[in-house]
Amino acid sequence: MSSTSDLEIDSPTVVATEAAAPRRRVRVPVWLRAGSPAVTYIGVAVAILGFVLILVAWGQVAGETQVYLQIPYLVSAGLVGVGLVMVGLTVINVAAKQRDAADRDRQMDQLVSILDELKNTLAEKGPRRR
Amino acid sequence: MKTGSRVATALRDPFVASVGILVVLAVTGLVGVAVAWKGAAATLVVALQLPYLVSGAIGGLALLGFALGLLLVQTRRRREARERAELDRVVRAAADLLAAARVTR
Repeated sequence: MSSTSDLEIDSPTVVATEAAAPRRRVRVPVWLRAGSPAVTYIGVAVAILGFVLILVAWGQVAGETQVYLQIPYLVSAGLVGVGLVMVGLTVINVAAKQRDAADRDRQMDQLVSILDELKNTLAEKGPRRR
Repeated sequence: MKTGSRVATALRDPFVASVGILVVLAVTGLVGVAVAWKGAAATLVVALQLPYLVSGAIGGLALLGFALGLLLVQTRRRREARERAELDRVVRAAADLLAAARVTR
């Protein structure tokens, strides 16, 4: 029992050490950040790759006359192509949302800083009238 | 105003132009599915039906899904742009208010 009560005591030194420990921040490349159009281009490229795969699947399937030889092309290129188109679409969607959110954040920061300045200005003005 | 010039004016808006292109892509996808159905229905040999399935059905569905997905993204971005324009007006009004407060100080 004594051992559990010892464990439950918060050690201030441990808490302070945890608070002082630097947070590990992941550095994102500039071209991958929220406002960058590169992510959108990556999504478009992935979707185009998917369409190319579907085209390849069609070419290979049309060149075979045996169903058991056609099915692997259908699955490996055709369905994977559809999957890549969906992945590309999702990447484009996420990139568009990130860009919109970045623009919105910029506007909100601007508004907050203006309102802060306004508050300070009015606070300076208030005591002078008294 | 003539219809042609109205269309030309509307197409100058990038949103209208992109929606037009995406609708054409979606219709092309549907036509691909229809062509695949017609081609596959014309033969009883499965080996000859499969190319129609791949090019028309899978390709058409991929094109249709891609176009509709981009259409949703474009529509949402248009709405976001309008909301940002409104917020921009609020920011400008706040900036004007700040300027007025500094002048009266």
